[in-house]
Amino acid sequence: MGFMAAFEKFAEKTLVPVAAKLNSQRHIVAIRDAFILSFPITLAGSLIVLLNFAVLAPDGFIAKILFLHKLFPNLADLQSVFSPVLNGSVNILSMFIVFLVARNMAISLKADELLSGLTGLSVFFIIYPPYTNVDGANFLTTQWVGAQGLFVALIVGLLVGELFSKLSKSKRLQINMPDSVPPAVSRSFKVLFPIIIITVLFAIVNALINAIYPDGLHGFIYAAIQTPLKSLGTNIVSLVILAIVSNLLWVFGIHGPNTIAAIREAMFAEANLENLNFVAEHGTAWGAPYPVTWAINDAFANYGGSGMTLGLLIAIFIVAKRQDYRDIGKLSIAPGIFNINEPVIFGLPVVLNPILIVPFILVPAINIIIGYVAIVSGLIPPIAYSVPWTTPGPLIAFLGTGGNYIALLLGFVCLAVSTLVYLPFVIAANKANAVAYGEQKSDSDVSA
Amino acid sequence: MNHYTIQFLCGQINYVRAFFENYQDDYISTRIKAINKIKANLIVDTTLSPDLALCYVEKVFQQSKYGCALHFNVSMKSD
Repeated sequence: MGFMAAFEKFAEKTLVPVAAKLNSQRHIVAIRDAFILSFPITLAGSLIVLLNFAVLAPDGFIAKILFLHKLFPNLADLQSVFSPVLNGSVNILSMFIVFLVARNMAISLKADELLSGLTGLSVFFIIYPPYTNVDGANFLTTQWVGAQGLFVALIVGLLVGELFSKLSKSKRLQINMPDSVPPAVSRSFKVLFPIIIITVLFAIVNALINAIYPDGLHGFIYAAIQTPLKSLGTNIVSLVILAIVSNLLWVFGIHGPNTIAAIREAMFAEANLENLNFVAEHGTAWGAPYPVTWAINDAFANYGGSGMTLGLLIAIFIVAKRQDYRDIGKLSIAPGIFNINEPVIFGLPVVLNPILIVPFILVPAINIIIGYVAIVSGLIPPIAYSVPWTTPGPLIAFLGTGGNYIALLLGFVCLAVSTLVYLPFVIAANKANAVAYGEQKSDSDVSA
Repeated sequence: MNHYTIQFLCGQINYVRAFFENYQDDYISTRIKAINKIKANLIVDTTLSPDLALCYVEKVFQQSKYGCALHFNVSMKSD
Protein backbone atom coordinates (compact mmCIF):
# COMPACT_ATOMS: atom_id res chain seq x y z
CA MET A 1 0.00 0.00 0.00
CA GLY A 2 3.02 2.29 0.56
CA PHE A 3 3.66 2.54 -3.17
CA MET A 4 0.02 3.32 -3.92
CA ALA A 5 -0.12 6.02 -1.25
CA ALA A 6 3.08 7.53 -2.64
CA PHE A 7 1.69 7.47 -6.18
CA GLU A 8 -1.56 9.04 -5.03
CA LYS A 9 0.44 11.83 -3.44
CA PHE A 10 2.45 12.22 -6.65
CA ALA A 11 -0.76 12.32 -8.69
CA GLU A 12 -2.30 14.93 -6.41
CA LYS A 13 0.75 17.19 -6.14
CA THR A 14 2.21 16.81 -9.64
CA LEU A 15 -0.10 15.15 -12.17
CA VAL A 16 -3.18 17.23 -11.38
CA PRO A 17 -1.44 20.61 -11.77
CA VAL A 18 0.14 19.42 -15.04
CA ALA A 19 -3.21 18.14 -16.31
CA ALA A 20 -4.87 21.36 -15.19
CA LYS A 21 -2.30 23.33 -17.18
CA LEU A 22 -2.91 21.18 -20.28
CA ASN A 23 -6.67 21.49 -19.91
CA SER A 24 -6.63 25.26 -19.48
CA GLN A 25 -3.74 26.36 -21.70
CA ARG A 26 -5.56 28.47 -24.29
CA HIS A 27 -3.73 27.17 -27.38
CA ILE A 28 -4.26 23.53 -26.45
CA VAL A 29 -7.89 24.19 -25.53
CA ALA A 30 -8.45 26.05 -28.82
CA ILE A 31 -7.14 23.06 -30.81
CA ARG A 32 -9.00 20.49 -28.72
CA ASP A 33 -12.31 22.31 -28.91
CA ALA A 34 -11.92 22.91 -32.65
CA PHE A 35 -11.72 19.17 -33.29
CA ILE A 36 -14.60 18.50 -30.91
CA LEU A 37 -16.80 21.08 -32.66
CA SER A 38 -15.96 19.78 -36.13
CA PHE A 39 -16.47 16.13 -35.16
CA PRO A 40 -20.19 15.98 -36.06
CA ILE A 41 -19.35 17.13 -39.57
CA THR A 42 -16.61 14.56 -40.07
CA LEU A 43 -18.86 11.90 -38.54
CA ALA A 44 -21.56 12.83 -41.07
CA GLY A 45 -19.03 12.27 -43.85
CA SER A 46 -18.04 8.93 -42.40
CA LEU A 47 -21.63 7.77 -42.05
CA ILE A 48 -22.36 8.75 -45.63
CA VAL A 49 -19.41 6.67 -46.83
CA LEU A 50 -20.75 3.80 -44.75
CA LEU A 51 -24.21 4.34 -46.24
CA ASN A 52 -22.82 4.42 -49.78
CA PHE A 53 -20.79 1.24 -49.47
CA ALA A 54 -22.75 -0.76 -46.91
CA VAL A 55 -26.31 -0.04 -48.02
CA LEU A 56 -26.34 1.35 -51.54
CA ALA A 57 -23.54 -0.70 -53.07
CA PRO A 58 -24.69 -4.08 -54.45
CA ASP A 59 -22.03 -5.92 -52.42
CA GLY A 60 -22.56 -3.87 -49.26
CA PHE A 61 -22.91 -5.99 -46.13
CA ILE A 62 -26.22 -4.40 -45.12
CA ALA A 63 -27.52 -4.56 -48.69
CA LYS A 64 -26.73 -8.28 -48.81
CA ILE A 65 -28.36 -9.01 -45.46
CA LEU A 66 -31.57 -7.18 -46.39
CA PHE A 67 -31.57 -8.18 -50.09
CA LEU A 68 -31.92 -4.50 -50.93
CA HIS A 69 -30.81 -4.80 -54.53
CA LYS A 70 -33.50 -7.33 -55.25
CA LEU A 71 -36.08 -4.92 -53.82
CA PHE A 72 -34.55 -1.79 -55.37
CA PRO A 73 -32.47 -2.71 -58.45
CA ASN A 74 -31.20 0.84 -59.09
CA LEU A 75 -30.15 1.54 -55.52
CA ALA A 76 -26.50 2.06 -56.49
CA ASP A 77 -27.51 5.12 -58.55
CA LEU A 78 -28.16 6.94 -55.28
CA GLN A 79 -24.46 6.83 -54.35
CA SER A 80 -23.79 9.87 -56.54
CA VAL A 81 -26.51 11.74 -54.63
CA PHE A 82 -24.77 11.27 -51.28
CA SER A 83 -21.09 11.35 -52.28
CA PRO A 84 -20.93 15.20 -52.29
CA VAL A 85 -21.39 15.11 -48.49
CA LEU A 86 -17.68 14.32 -48.32
CA ASN A 87 -16.92 17.47 -50.32
CA GLY A 88 -18.62 19.48 -47.60
CA SER A 89 -17.14 17.63 -44.64
CA VAL A 90 -13.87 15.70 -44.43
CA ASN A 91 -12.50 17.07 -47.71
CA ILE A 92 -12.53 20.64 -46.35
CA LEU A 93 -11.74 19.91 -42.71
CA SER A 94 -8.80 22.32 -42.66
CA MET A 95 -11.13 25.20 -43.44
CA PHE A 96 -13.31 24.35 -40.45
CA ILE A 97 -10.30 23.92 -38.20
CA VAL A 98 -8.64 27.23 -39.08
CA PHE A 99 -11.89 29.10 -38.48
CA LEU A 100 -12.62 27.30 -35.22
CA VAL A 101 -9.11 27.59 -33.78
CA ALA A 102 -8.97 31.34 -34.48
CA ARG A 103 -12.47 31.68 -33.07
CA ASN A 104 -11.64 29.71 -29.91
CA MET A 105 -8.51 31.77 -29.33
CA ALA A 106 -10.57 34.97 -29.55
CA ILE A 107 -13.12 33.58 -27.09
CA SER A 108 -10.42 32.86 -24.51
CA LEU A 109 -8.84 36.28 -25.06
CA LYS A 110 -12.24 37.98 -25.04
CA ALA A 111 -12.10 39.38 -28.54
CA ASP A 112 -14.60 39.23 -31.41
CA GLU A 113 -14.65 35.49 -32.08
CA LEU A 114 -16.62 35.58 -35.33
CA LEU A 115 -14.35 38.10 -37.03
CA SER A 116 -11.29 36.35 -35.67
CA GLY A 117 -12.49 33.11 -37.27
CA LEU A 118 -13.21 34.82 -40.58
CA THR A 119 -9.79 36.45 -40.56
CA GLY A 120 -8.21 33.06 -39.93
CA LEU A 121 -10.05 31.64 -42.93
CA SER A 122 -8.99 34.59 -45.02
CA VAL A 123 -5.32 34.17 -44.08
CA PHE A 124 -5.52 30.43 -44.79
CA PHE A 125 -6.28 31.27 -48.41
CA ILE A 126 -3.85 34.18 -48.58
CA ILE A 127 -1.02 31.70 -48.00
CA TYR A 128 -2.66 29.01 -50.13
CA PRO A 129 -0.98 27.90 -53.37
CA PRO A 130 -2.11 30.29 -56.11
CA TYR A 131 -4.77 29.64 -58.70
CA THR A 132 -3.86 27.72 -61.83
CA ASN A 133 -5.30 28.99 -65.06
CA VAL A 134 -6.50 26.29 -67.44
CA ASP A 135 -8.20 27.35 -70.69
CA GLY A 136 -9.17 30.70 -69.23
CA ALA A 137 -10.66 29.28 -66.02
CA ASN A 138 -8.96 29.59 -62.62
CA PHE A 139 -8.59 26.44 -60.53
CA LEU A 140 -7.52 26.06 -56.95
CA THR A 141 -5.95 22.81 -55.80
CA THR A 142 -7.91 20.94 -53.14
CA GLN A 143 -4.75 19.26 -51.82
CA TRP A 144 -4.47 21.44 -48.74
CA VAL A 145 -8.09 22.05 -47.68
CA GLY A 146 -8.51 18.54 -46.29
CA ALA A 147 -6.31 16.30 -44.18
CA GLN A 148 -2.98 17.48 -45.53
CA GLY A 149 -3.63 21.10 -44.64
CA LEU A 150 -4.45 20.42 -40.99
CA PHE A 151 -1.22 21.66 -39.46
CA VAL A 152 -1.16 24.84 -41.50
CA ALA A 153 -4.76 25.36 -40.37
CA LEU A 154 -3.77 24.88 -36.73
CA ILE A 155 -0.77 27.20 -36.95
CA VAL A 156 -2.63 29.89 -38.89
CA GLY A 157 -5.61 29.66 -36.54
CA LEU A 158 -3.40 30.06 -33.46
CA LEU A 159 -1.34 32.92 -34.89
CA VAL A 160 -4.32 34.81 -36.28
CA GLY A 161 -6.28 34.27 -33.07
CA GLU A 162 -3.46 35.72 -30.97
CA LEU A 163 -2.69 38.62 -33.29
CA PHE A 164 -6.30 39.54 -33.89
CA SER A 165 -7.16 39.45 -30.19
CA LYS A 166 -4.19 41.63 -29.23
CA LEU A 167 -4.50 44.12 -32.08
CA SER A 168 -8.27 44.48 -31.76
CA LYS A 169 -7.86 45.64 -28.16
CA SER A 170 -5.54 48.46 -29.10
CA LYS A 171 -7.53 51.72 -28.85
CA ARG A 172 -5.34 53.34 -31.51
CA LEU A 173 -6.40 50.74 -34.07
CA GLN A 174 -10.12 50.90 -33.35
CA ILE A 175 -12.57 52.82 -35.51
CA ASN A 176 -15.45 53.70 -33.23
CA MET A 177 -18.69 54.50 -35.01
CA PRO A 178 -21.51 56.66 -33.63
CA ASP A 179 -24.32 54.93 -31.75
CA SER A 180 -26.70 55.52 -34.65
CA VAL A 181 -24.73 53.14 -36.85
CA PRO A 182 -26.16 49.57 -36.98
CA PRO A 183 -24.34 47.18 -34.60
CA ALA A 184 -23.10 44.86 -37.36
CA VAL A 185 -21.49 47.76 -39.22
CA SER A 186 -20.03 49.20 -36.05
CA ARG A 187 -18.65 45.79 -35.07
CA SER A 188 -16.91 45.19 -38.39
CA PHE A 189 -15.42 48.69 -38.59
CA LYS A 190 -14.05 48.43 -35.07
CA VAL A 191 -11.60 45.71 -36.14
CA LEU A 192 -10.97 46.91 -39.68
CA PHE A 193 -7.37 48.01 -39.13
CA PRO A 194 -6.32 44.84 -37.24
CA ILE A 195 -7.72 42.70 -40.06
CA ILE A 196 -5.93 44.75 -42.73
CA ILE A 197 -2.66 44.56 -40.78
CA ILE A 198 -2.95 40.79 -40.31
CA THR A 199 -3.84 40.03 -43.93
CA VAL A 200 -1.05 42.24 -45.30
CA LEU A 201 1.44 40.78 -42.82
CA PHE A 202 0.68 37.21 -43.85
CA ALA A 203 0.85 38.15 -47.52
CA ILE A 204 4.39 39.44 -46.94
CA VAL A 205 5.36 36.37 -44.91
CA ASN A 206 3.95 34.13 -47.63
CA ALA A 207 5.97 35.94 -50.31
CA LEU A 208 9.16 35.58 -48.28
CA ILE A 209 8.58 31.87 -47.65
CA ASN A 210 7.80 31.22 -51.30
CA ALA A 211 11.04 32.94 -52.24
CA ILE A 212 13.00 30.57 -49.99
CA TYR A 213 10.93 27.41 -50.29
CA PRO A 214 9.30 27.05 -53.72
CA ASP A 215 6.75 24.44 -52.55
CA GLY A 216 5.22 27.16 -50.39
CA LEU A 217 4.26 27.25 -46.74
CA HIS A 218 1.88 24.29 -47.00
CA GLY A 219 4.51 22.04 -48.51
CA PHE A 220 7.11 23.19 -45.99
CA ILE A 221 4.95 22.62 -42.92
CA TYR A 222 3.63 19.33 -44.26
CA ALA A 223 7.17 18.01 -44.75
CA ALA A 224 8.75 19.52 -41.63
CA ILE A 225 6.03 19.04 -39.02
CA GLN A 226 2.93 17.16 -40.11
CA THR A 227 4.56 14.15 -41.71
CA PRO A 228 6.97 13.42 -38.81
CA LEU A 229 4.16 13.86 -36.30
CA LYS A 230 1.95 11.57 -38.33
CA SER A 231 4.71 8.94 -38.38
CA LEU A 232 5.06 9.30 -34.63
CA GLY A 233 1.35 8.81 -34.19
CA THR A 234 0.66 6.01 -36.59
CA ASN A 235 2.81 3.41 -34.92
CA ILE A 236 1.68 0.91 -32.32
CA VAL A 237 4.10 2.03 -29.58
CA SER A 238 2.71 5.59 -29.57
CA LEU A 239 -0.83 4.27 -29.57
CA VAL A 240 -0.24 1.96 -26.61
CA ILE A 241 1.62 4.66 -24.65
CA LEU A 242 -1.14 7.18 -25.26
CA ALA A 243 -3.80 4.69 -24.16
CA ILE A 244 -1.84 3.80 -21.02
CA VAL A 245 -1.34 7.48 -20.14
CA SER A 246 -5.03 8.25 -20.70
CA ASN A 247 -6.21 5.36 -18.52
CA LEU A 248 -3.59 6.04 -15.85
CA LEU A 249 -4.79 9.61 -15.53
CA TRP A 250 -8.38 8.38 -15.47
CA VAL A 251 -7.83 6.03 -12.57
CA PHE A 252 -6.29 8.84 -10.52
CA GLY A 253 -9.32 11.06 -11.01
CA ILE A 254 -7.96 13.10 -13.90
CA HIS A 255 -9.94 13.28 -17.15
CA GLY A 256 -7.55 11.26 -19.34
CA PRO A 257 -9.20 11.61 -22.76
CA ASN A 258 -9.63 15.39 -22.37
CA THR A 259 -6.04 15.83 -21.23
CA ILE A 260 -4.57 14.01 -24.21
CA ALA A 261 -7.19 15.18 -26.75
CA ALA A 262 -5.11 17.87 -28.45
CA ILE A 263 -2.07 15.57 -28.76
CA ARG A 264 -4.23 12.69 -29.97
CA GLU A 265 -5.95 14.77 -32.64
CA ALA A 266 -2.67 16.27 -33.86
CA MET A 267 -1.17 12.78 -34.22
CA PHE A 268 -4.10 10.85 -35.69
CA ALA A 269 -6.45 13.27 -37.46
CA GLU A 270 -4.78 13.15 -40.87
CA ALA A 271 -4.42 9.37 -40.81
CA ASN A 272 -8.11 8.95 -39.97
CA LEU A 273 -9.14 11.22 -42.82
CA GLU A 274 -6.80 9.54 -45.31
CA ASN A 275 -8.28 6.16 -44.40
CA LEU A 276 -11.80 7.50 -44.91
CA ASN A 277 -10.83 9.03 -48.25
CA PHE A 278 -9.38 5.67 -49.26
CA VAL A 279 -12.68 3.98 -48.54
CA ALA A 280 -14.57 6.68 -50.43
CA GLU A 281 -12.39 6.07 -53.50
CA HIS A 282 -12.09 2.29 -53.38
CA GLY A 283 -15.28 1.19 -51.67
CA THR A 284 -13.43 -0.98 -49.14
CA ALA A 285 -11.29 -0.56 -46.03
CA TRP A 286 -8.88 -3.26 -47.23
CA GLY A 287 -5.61 -1.59 -48.13
CA ALA A 288 -6.35 1.67 -46.25
CA PRO A 289 -2.99 3.43 -45.89
CA TYR A 290 -2.84 3.75 -42.07
CA PRO A 291 -3.45 0.53 -40.12
CA VAL A 292 -2.61 2.19 -36.81
CA THR A 293 -4.92 4.98 -35.67
CA TRP A 294 -6.75 5.81 -32.45
CA ALA A 295 -9.72 3.95 -33.93
CA ILE A 296 -8.08 0.68 -32.80
CA ASN A 297 -8.56 1.81 -29.19
CA ASP A 298 -12.23 2.60 -29.79
CA ALA A 299 -12.82 -0.61 -31.74
CA PHE A 300 -11.15 -3.11 -29.38
CA ALA A 301 -10.12 -1.49 -26.10
CA ASN A 302 -12.94 0.74 -24.94
CA TYR A 303 -15.98 -1.48 -24.45
CA GLY A 304 -17.97 -0.20 -21.51
CA GLY A 305 -15.80 2.92 -21.44
CA SER A 306 -12.17 3.59 -20.54
CA GLY A 307 -10.42 0.59 -19.06
CA MET A 308 -12.62 -1.85 -21.00
CA THR A 309 -14.96 -1.89 -18.00
CA LEU A 310 -17.52 -4.09 -19.76
CA GLY A 311 -15.08 -6.93 -19.11
CA LEU A 312 -14.97 -5.87 -15.45
CA LEU A 313 -18.75 -5.97 -15.20
CA ILE A 314 -18.90 -9.47 -16.72
CA ALA A 315 -16.14 -10.60 -14.33
CA ILE A 316 -18.19 -9.22 -11.43
CA PHE A 317 -21.22 -11.24 -12.46
CA ILE A 318 -19.08 -14.38 -12.76
CA VAL A 319 -17.03 -14.29 -9.54
CA ALA A 320 -18.03 -11.43 -7.25
CA LYS A 321 -19.43 -12.59 -3.94
CA ARG A 322 -19.97 -9.15 -2.45
CA GLN A 323 -23.55 -7.99 -2.82
CA ASP A 324 -22.50 -4.33 -3.26
CA TYR A 325 -20.33 -5.32 -6.24
CA ARG A 326 -23.18 -7.23 -7.82
CA ASP A 327 -25.61 -4.36 -7.19
CA ILE A 328 -23.24 -1.90 -8.84
CA GLY A 329 -22.78 -4.34 -11.70
CA LYS A 330 -26.53 -4.44 -12.31
CA LEU A 331 -26.74 -0.64 -12.19
CA SER A 332 -23.79 -0.21 -14.52
CA ILE A 333 -24.48 -2.79 -17.23
CA ALA A 334 -27.06 -0.75 -19.18
CA PRO A 335 -24.96 2.42 -19.52
CA GLY A 336 -21.89 0.19 -19.92
CA ILE A 337 -23.24 -1.30 -23.12
CA PHE A 338 -23.08 2.23 -24.52
CA ASN A 339 -19.58 2.85 -23.12
CA ILE A 340 -20.64 5.05 -20.21
CA ASN A 341 -18.94 3.90 -17.01
CA GLU A 342 -19.37 6.57 -14.32
CA PRO A 343 -21.49 4.22 -12.17
CA VAL A 344 -18.74 1.60 -12.00
CA ILE A 345 -15.80 4.03 -11.89
CA PHE A 346 -17.16 5.73 -8.78
CA GLY A 347 -19.43 2.95 -7.56
CA LEU A 348 -16.99 0.08 -6.96
CA PRO A 349 -14.91 2.29 -7.06
CA VAL A 350 -12.26 1.78 -9.71
CA VAL A 351 -10.74 5.21 -9.15
CA LEU A 352 -7.83 5.05 -6.70
CA ASN A 353 -8.39 1.30 -6.31
CA PRO A 354 -4.89 -0.23 -5.98
CA ILE A 355 -6.13 -3.64 -7.16
CA LEU A 356 -8.33 -2.69 -10.09
CA ILE A 357 -5.91 -0.07 -11.38
CA VAL A 358 -3.74 -2.86 -12.81
CA PRO A 359 -6.27 -4.43 -15.20
CA PHE A 360 -7.80 -1.01 -15.92
CA ILE A 361 -4.51 -0.01 -17.53
CA LEU A 362 -3.35 -3.43 -18.74
CA VAL A 363 -6.50 -4.68 -20.49
CA PRO A 364 -6.83 -1.87 -23.08
CA ALA A 365 -3.12 -2.17 -23.91
CA ILE A 366 -3.49 -5.92 -24.48
CA ASN A 367 -6.57 -5.46 -26.65
CA ILE A 368 -4.95 -2.71 -28.70
CA ILE A 369 -2.12 -5.11 -29.48
CA ILE A 370 -4.59 -7.87 -30.38
CA GLY A 371 -6.39 -5.50 -32.76
CA TYR A 372 -3.10 -4.29 -34.23
CA VAL A 373 -1.83 -7.82 -34.88
CA ALA A 374 -5.12 -8.75 -36.53
CA ILE A 375 -4.88 -5.75 -38.86
CA VAL A 376 -1.23 -6.00 -39.86
CA SER A 377 -1.49 -9.77 -40.36
CA GLY A 378 -4.32 -9.20 -42.83
CA LEU A 379 -7.02 -10.90 -40.74
CA ILE A 380 -9.17 -7.78 -40.76
CA PRO A 381 -8.92 -4.45 -42.62
CA PRO A 382 -7.93 -1.20 -40.87
CA ILE A 383 -10.63 0.63 -38.91
CA ALA A 384 -11.37 3.25 -41.54
CA TYR A 385 -14.88 4.46 -40.69
CA SER A 386 -15.60 6.82 -37.79
CA VAL A 387 -18.29 5.45 -35.53
CA PRO A 388 -19.96 7.29 -32.59
CA TRP A 389 -18.19 6.37 -29.35
CA THR A 390 -21.44 5.37 -27.67
CA THR A 391 -21.92 2.51 -30.17
CA PRO A 392 -21.88 -0.84 -28.33
CA GLY A 393 -18.31 -2.16 -28.33
CA PRO A 394 -17.99 -4.98 -30.88
CA LEU A 395 -20.22 -3.04 -33.29
CA ILE A 396 -17.55 -0.34 -33.50
CA ALA A 397 -15.11 -2.91 -34.87
CA PHE A 398 -17.78 -4.30 -37.21
CA LEU A 399 -18.92 -0.94 -38.59
CA GLY A 400 -15.44 0.58 -38.48
CA THR A 401 -14.16 -2.08 -40.88
CA GLY A 402 -17.15 -1.70 -43.18
CA GLY A 403 -18.99 -4.79 -42.03
CA ASN A 404 -16.21 -7.32 -41.50
CA TYR A 405 -17.57 -10.27 -39.51
CA ILE A 406 -14.14 -11.37 -38.37
CA ALA A 407 -13.69 -7.94 -36.80
CA LEU A 408 -16.99 -8.44 -35.00
CA LEU A 409 -15.82 -11.83 -33.76
CA LEU A 410 -12.49 -10.34 -32.73
CA GLY A 411 -14.38 -7.76 -30.71
CA PHE A 412 -16.00 -10.54 -28.70
CA VAL A 413 -12.61 -12.23 -28.34
CA CYS A 414 -11.22 -8.99 -26.87
CA LEU A 415 -14.18 -8.82 -24.52
CA ALA A 416 -13.48 -12.39 -23.40
CA VAL A 417 -9.78 -11.58 -22.92
CA SER A 418 -10.64 -8.53 -20.83
CA THR A 419 -13.02 -10.56 -18.67
CA LEU A 420 -10.36 -13.22 -18.09
CA VAL A 421 -7.78 -10.59 -17.10
CA TYR A 422 -10.22 -8.85 -14.73
CA LEU A 423 -11.34 -12.10 -13.03
CA PRO A 424 -8.44 -12.57 -10.56
CA PHE A 425 -8.39 -8.87 -9.74
CA VAL A 426 -12.13 -8.86 -9.00
CA ILE A 427 -11.60 -11.84 -6.69
CA ALA A 428 -8.77 -10.00 -4.93
CA ALA A 429 -10.74 -6.75 -4.73
CA ASN A 430 -13.67 -8.62 -3.20
CA LYS A 431 -11.44 -9.62 -0.31
CA ALA A 432 -9.93 -6.15 0.14
CA ASN A 433 -10.93 -4.15 3.16
CA ALA A 434 -13.99 -1.98 2.46
CA VAL A 435 -12.72 0.70 4.81
CA ALA A 436 -9.74 1.40 2.49
CA TYR A 437 -11.80 4.33 1.24
CA GLY A 438 -12.39 5.75 4.72
CA GLU A 439 -16.10 5.04 4.73
CA GLN A 440 -17.58 6.71 7.81
CA LYS A 441 -20.89 5.94 9.44
CA SER A 442 -21.37 9.37 11.08
CA ASP A 443 -22.00 12.70 9.34
CA SER A 444 -19.20 14.57 11.06
CA ASP A 445 -16.42 16.30 9.14
CA VAL A 446 -13.66 13.74 8.76
CA SER A 447 -10.72 13.87 6.39
CA ALA A 448 -9.69 10.73 4.54
CA MET B 1 -33.22 30.28 0.82
CA ASN B 2 -32.95 26.64 -0.26
CA HIS B 3 -30.63 24.08 1.27
CA TYR B 4 -29.43 21.13 -0.77
CA THR B 5 -26.96 18.33 -0.24
CA ILE B 6 -25.00 17.65 -3.41
CA GLN B 7 -22.80 14.59 -3.60
CA PHE B 8 -19.47 15.02 -5.36
CA LEU B 9 -17.55 11.98 -6.56
CA CYS B 10 -13.98 12.63 -7.65
CA GLY B 11 -10.67 10.81 -7.43
CA GLN B 12 -8.96 14.04 -6.36
CA ILE B 13 -11.43 14.99 -3.64
CA ASN B 14 -8.99 17.29 -1.84
CA TYR B 15 -9.25 19.71 -4.75
CA VAL B 16 -13.04 19.63 -4.44
CA ARG B 17 -12.78 20.24 -0.73
CA ALA B 18 -10.31 23.09 -1.17
CA PHE B 19 -12.55 24.75 -3.73
CA PHE B 20 -15.90 24.41 -2.02
CA GLU B 21 -14.93 24.78 1.64
CA ASN B 22 -16.70 28.01 2.61
CA TYR B 23 -17.17 28.94 -1.07
CA GLN B 24 -19.47 31.85 -1.77
CA ASP B 25 -20.54 33.74 -4.85
CA ASP B 26 -23.66 35.61 -6.04
CA TYR B 27 -25.66 32.40 -6.41
CA ILE B 28 -24.47 29.82 -3.90
CA SER B 29 -22.59 29.34 -0.70
CA THR B 30 -21.26 25.93 0.27
CA ARG B 31 -19.69 24.03 3.12
CA ILE B 32 -18.44 20.47 3.36
CA LYS B 33 -20.65 18.16 5.39
CA ALA B 34 -18.84 14.82 5.10
CA ILE B 35 -15.94 13.57 3.06
CA ASN B 36 -13.99 10.43 2.31
CA LYS B 37 -11.28 9.59 -0.21
CA ILE B 38 -13.46 10.01 -3.30
CA LYS B 39 -16.72 11.45 -2.00
CA ALA B 40 -17.78 14.81 -0.64
CA ASN B 41 -21.18 15.98 0.48
CA LEU B 42 -21.71 19.67 -0.02
CA ILE B 43 -24.34 21.65 1.81
CA VAL B 44 -25.42 24.29 -0.67
CA ASP B 45 -27.37 27.38 0.33
CA THR B 46 -28.96 29.01 -2.69
CA THR B 47 -32.07 30.59 -4.13
CA LEU B 48 -31.76 28.41 -7.25
CA SER B 49 -33.99 25.44 -7.94
CA PRO B 50 -32.49 21.95 -7.38
CA ASP B 51 -31.76 21.34 -11.08
CA LEU B 52 -30.21 24.76 -11.57
CA ALA B 53 -28.19 24.47 -8.36
CA LEU B 54 -26.79 21.13 -9.50
CA CYS B 55 -25.89 22.48 -12.94
CA TYR B 56 -24.37 25.59 -11.40
CA VAL B 57 -22.20 23.68 -8.93
CA GLU B 58 -20.97 21.42 -11.73
CA LYS B 59 -20.25 24.36 -14.03
CA VAL B 60 -18.48 26.47 -11.44
CA PHE B 61 -16.14 23.61 -10.53
CA GLN B 62 -15.62 22.64 -14.18
CA GLN B 63 -14.42 26.18 -14.87
CA SER B 64 -12.14 26.34 -11.86
CA LYS B 65 -8.35 26.09 -12.05
CA TYR B 66 -8.16 22.37 -11.31
CA GLY B 67 -11.74 21.32 -11.98
CA CYS B 68 -11.25 21.53 -15.75
CA ALA B 69 -8.76 18.65 -15.56
CA LEU B 70 -10.63 16.37 -13.20
CA HIS B 71 -13.17 13.65 -13.82
CA PHE B 72 -16.06 14.04 -11.40
CA ASN B 73 -19.71 13.30 -10.95
CA VAL B 74 -22.35 15.34 -9.10
CA SER B 75 -25.77 14.29 -7.97
CA MET B 76 -28.45 15.67 -5.72
CA LYS B 77 -28.65 13.75 -2.48
CA SER B 78 -31.97 13.50 -0.72
CA ASP B 79 -31.65 14.45 2.94
